[in-house]
Amino acid sequence: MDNIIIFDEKISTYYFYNNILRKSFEIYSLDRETPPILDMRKTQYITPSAVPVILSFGDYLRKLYKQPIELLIGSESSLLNFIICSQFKSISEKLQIFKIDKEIIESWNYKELRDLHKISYTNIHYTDVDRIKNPVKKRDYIYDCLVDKSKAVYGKILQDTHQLPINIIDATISSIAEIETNSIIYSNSYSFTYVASDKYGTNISIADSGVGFERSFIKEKRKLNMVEKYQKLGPKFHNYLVIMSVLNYSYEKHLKDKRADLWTLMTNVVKCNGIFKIQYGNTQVIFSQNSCKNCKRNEGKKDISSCVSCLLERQSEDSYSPIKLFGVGFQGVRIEIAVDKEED
Amino acid sequence: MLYSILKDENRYYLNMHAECALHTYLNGFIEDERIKNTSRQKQGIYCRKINADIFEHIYSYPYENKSICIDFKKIEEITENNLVAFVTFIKKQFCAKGKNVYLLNVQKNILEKMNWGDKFQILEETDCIVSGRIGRGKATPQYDQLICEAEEAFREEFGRVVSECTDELNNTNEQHTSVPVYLSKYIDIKKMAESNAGFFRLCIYYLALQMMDKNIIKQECNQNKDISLFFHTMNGGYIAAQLAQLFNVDMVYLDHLGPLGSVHRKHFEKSIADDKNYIIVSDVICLGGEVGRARTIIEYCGGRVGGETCVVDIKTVQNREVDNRASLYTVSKTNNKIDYKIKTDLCAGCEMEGKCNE
Repeated sequence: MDNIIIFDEKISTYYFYNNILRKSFEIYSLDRETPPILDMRKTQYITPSAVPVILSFGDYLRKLYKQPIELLIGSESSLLNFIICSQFKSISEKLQIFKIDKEIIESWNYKELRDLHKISYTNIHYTDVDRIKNPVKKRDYIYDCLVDKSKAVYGKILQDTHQLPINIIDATISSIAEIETNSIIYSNSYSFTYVASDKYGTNISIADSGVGFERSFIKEKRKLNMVEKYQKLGPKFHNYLVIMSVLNYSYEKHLKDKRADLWTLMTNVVKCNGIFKIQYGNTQVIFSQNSCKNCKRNEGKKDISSCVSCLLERQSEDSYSPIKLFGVGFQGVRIEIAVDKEED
Repeated sequence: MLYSILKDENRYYLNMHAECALHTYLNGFIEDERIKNTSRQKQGIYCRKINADIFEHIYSYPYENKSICIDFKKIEEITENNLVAFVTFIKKQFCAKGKNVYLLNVQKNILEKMNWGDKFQILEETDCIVSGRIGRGKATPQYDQLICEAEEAFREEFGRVVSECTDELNNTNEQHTSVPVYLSKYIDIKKMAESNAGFFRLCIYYLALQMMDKNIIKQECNQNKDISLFFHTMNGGYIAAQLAQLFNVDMVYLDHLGPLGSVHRKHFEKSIADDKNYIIVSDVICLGGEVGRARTIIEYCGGRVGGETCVVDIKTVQNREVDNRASLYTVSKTNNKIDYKIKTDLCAGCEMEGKCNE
């Protein structure tokens, strides 16, 4: 059959964006009615950052084809354990994203994972939130609730190994709450969060398949300042400039009202020797400790133009480029954070 | 609405922890089975964080042109953006109008994030807690005075409400329904709850703190697992429901223990479990007849009575102290503003007649 997408043994986000997304786009171009079948029978491992991306991709396909997407899993694979224990299966069923063969699942004698290694998701609507009209107040309310949730879900387990310094645990918790807040405000879709932590550090990945930054900004009548300023770069860098406009908006709010949100989060992650990746459409922007930790280019500046130029100067086609332009993208915003444990 | 705001001629008094405790509820973000219990342990009286929705109530209150005294006792966490907005509000609403702002019992890490700089004049300081003033003017009340005045504002308001809700009994020669005495007044707790539900909730909050002070309820939420609140009247049920929410504990009730003086149920063991602690919740404890009956039934069924709690306690005998009883207001020989009298037939002709309340 032409609509089967076969996944490799190991699935990373890089592999996903370069292969799976391209293949699904080809399937859709040939036949817009028949949904693809995702075949993971060979797959043994999904990298933590790719877990929410696959769920939000499934959610995107479900909306596109207006039906749940078939997902094939090997009956003896270690992936099966993960699918059950991480709540991948239960969330897929609850939100009607994937159809997974029940017989295989039910016959598998699974082994529990640590609580931390479970996927969480945020809803599209919350009654408490819908009543708040002011966007800033709405944001603060959501953030407060999600900080409580993140602490309850992740706080204890991030501390239980005593491997991570307290400032990194705090940064991790506020990172999760911050990104999920943005997702609820901007995406109008489910967002999925997966946190994996071990003695070497912590990986956080949060993905949604919502309307994205650009339409949200237009709806709120906010200007995409960097898109306007760098118009001459052309459509290739449009999504890059949208991402930078969003960060710039956050930077300006930080300067004006000392408010902490996406920009502050990014700088905090980098200060904790972390890597902050933000993806919109087909474009991923990477802020790393090596390049950004001690950067003072923005000091005293009104906007983040110098940051925009710096990343552009370092952009290349290789895998170390801070701006990655994939051939195909899908709607929504994805953020990945990796914080390594500091050497003692 | 704000539950804890009170005022006197000088200033407003606001208790942040009371607001957090009385406003917390399970929201849609905490629907995950894994965290429901953990989140409950941080709610109600155990809440230590001020969320955005509490600040919204603070911002939308219709303030008069007065100073304000805000107590942050027990508050351990406020997110940065909420602090930014709070400081902006305080500056605009009070400082810009030349009014003083007193911030009491603020954790130092929270105060640092408020960024007041030299504007914050310290009144009291310990290792990690600080109290102070933002504002002008030489004369300033000290920390202890502010605490006393805040307590007095509550006491005065509560005393006023009790007086308002105490009715004369028309027929003082008719026997009380529960015990064989004649009462001069009826303290109508239902009227108190109905006439100002918000203030009554604040009263329940202070009653809850009293219960913790007397160790009837434990300082940590997870230590209360074997505790249930027991009530036998409607008013007691109304109070118990709110206490149960504040402490996250269960409730048990037995009806017809009260004024009717008859028990209709045979099998109490269904409600009362062996080796569990019960706290008897009542509205008014007068001579203690009904509470005594409740205690007997609980203990007969194998349960333990961990304490008693009521809004108004009538102290009929001098130096009488009941173990593990928490109450919000005591009517006694020295505090009887409502002129509460208990009489029997033996009062007539008694040499003390007419001198009892002197």
